[in-house]
Amino acid sequence: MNTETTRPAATDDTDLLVSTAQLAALILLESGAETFRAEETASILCHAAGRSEAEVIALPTGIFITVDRRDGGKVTSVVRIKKRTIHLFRIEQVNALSRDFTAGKLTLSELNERLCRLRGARIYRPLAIAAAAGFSSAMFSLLFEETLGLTVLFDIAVTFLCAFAAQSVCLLPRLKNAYLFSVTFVSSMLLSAIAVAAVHLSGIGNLSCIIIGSITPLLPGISLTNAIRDTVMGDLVSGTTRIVETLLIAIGIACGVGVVLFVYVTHLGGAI
Amino acid sequence: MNETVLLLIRDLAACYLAVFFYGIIMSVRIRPLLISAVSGSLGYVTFRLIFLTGHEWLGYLAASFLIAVSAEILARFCKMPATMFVLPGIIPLVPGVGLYQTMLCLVRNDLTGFQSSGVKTLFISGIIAVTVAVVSGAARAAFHPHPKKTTSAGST
Repeated sequence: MNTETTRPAATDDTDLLVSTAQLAALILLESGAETFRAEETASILCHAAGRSEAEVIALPTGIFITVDRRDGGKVTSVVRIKKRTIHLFRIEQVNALSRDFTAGKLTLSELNERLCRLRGARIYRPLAIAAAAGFSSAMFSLLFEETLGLTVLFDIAVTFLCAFAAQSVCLLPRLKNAYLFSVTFVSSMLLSAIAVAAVHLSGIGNLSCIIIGSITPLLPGISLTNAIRDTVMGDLVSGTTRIVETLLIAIGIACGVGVVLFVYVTHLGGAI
Repeated sequence: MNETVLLLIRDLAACYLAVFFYGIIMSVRIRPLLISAVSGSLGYVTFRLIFLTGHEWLGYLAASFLIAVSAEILARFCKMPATMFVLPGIIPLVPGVGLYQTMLCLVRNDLTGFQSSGVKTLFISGIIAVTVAVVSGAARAAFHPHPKKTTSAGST
């Protein structure tokens, strides 16, 4: 009858709680949220489950979480974060789910299941995202034009093509685990090569506007904002790491565009 | 004068569409995006207006302040994280032109220009990011007082 007496009570949900809170923080950091948001969400979830003593440390590359068991011991779990993308939809959903859990509308296992489904969720197809990058860049190049004329239309069309190609490179499934710097470098080289070819062959068009418009989707505006936010919130390690990441991306773009323009100016006799 | 107004209207429209499509790259849903594109384009036009009077730094400061504050208000209104509204909104202000010019100076072997435009670009992005960070930090301090942690290390 009493074979189960040595095991902890079946109602001890610490393991599930730890993995759920960790999953929530993991989704947040993988989708481009700030570090303090990930830490806060995990501790709010633990708090809502009645474990106010939980400790969470989140870094851009990993999450550590420790929760006390009801019978004394501690449960600690570590997870490594490999890919970091921008996916604001998932941040919003994790926020809504943790709000529901805190209000008691969801049980712990339901929350875990919803989070597992959310981790791979996406709302737009890769092709739609690449096309959106094209349209967005085209509008940015229009924004930087100083006059309104017919060649503006040519610039817009070329910008669309450049940004579409660059974003497609970034979204290739094969490159998902590649280092961000190299992907940025290759795609900015590609976009400036297309822009230079189009302007050189047709003889019309504003090369600067085309390139500035097309690099906009690659610019690390979001990681810089998050870096400063982390620093202001006191997460010094994350803040410093993200500032370095931002600088690396910016240097990657500048090198990719610079190499192509350098070859264009010195070997093809182009003028910029 | 007429030309300026025309260019501002073009900026407003182009900026709205640019922010809208940029939000799709960041996987924001359509409905919040329709609103944040308004704040993004109004912020950019604010910057242009102040820029035309000759105060470039003030323009960046005012525009990013406007975008960050309206994002905090929208976030309370729609019950979504303010990030959803800030990040698409500030994109038109991000100094892509500065990065391009810095790189161009390097290609032309103009090291003085490289230094000055590089530092300027760094400063502009710093202004935008710090403004956003300070506004969101202030909003957190005002609306979400940090829950008191029961420090437990060894006490239980």
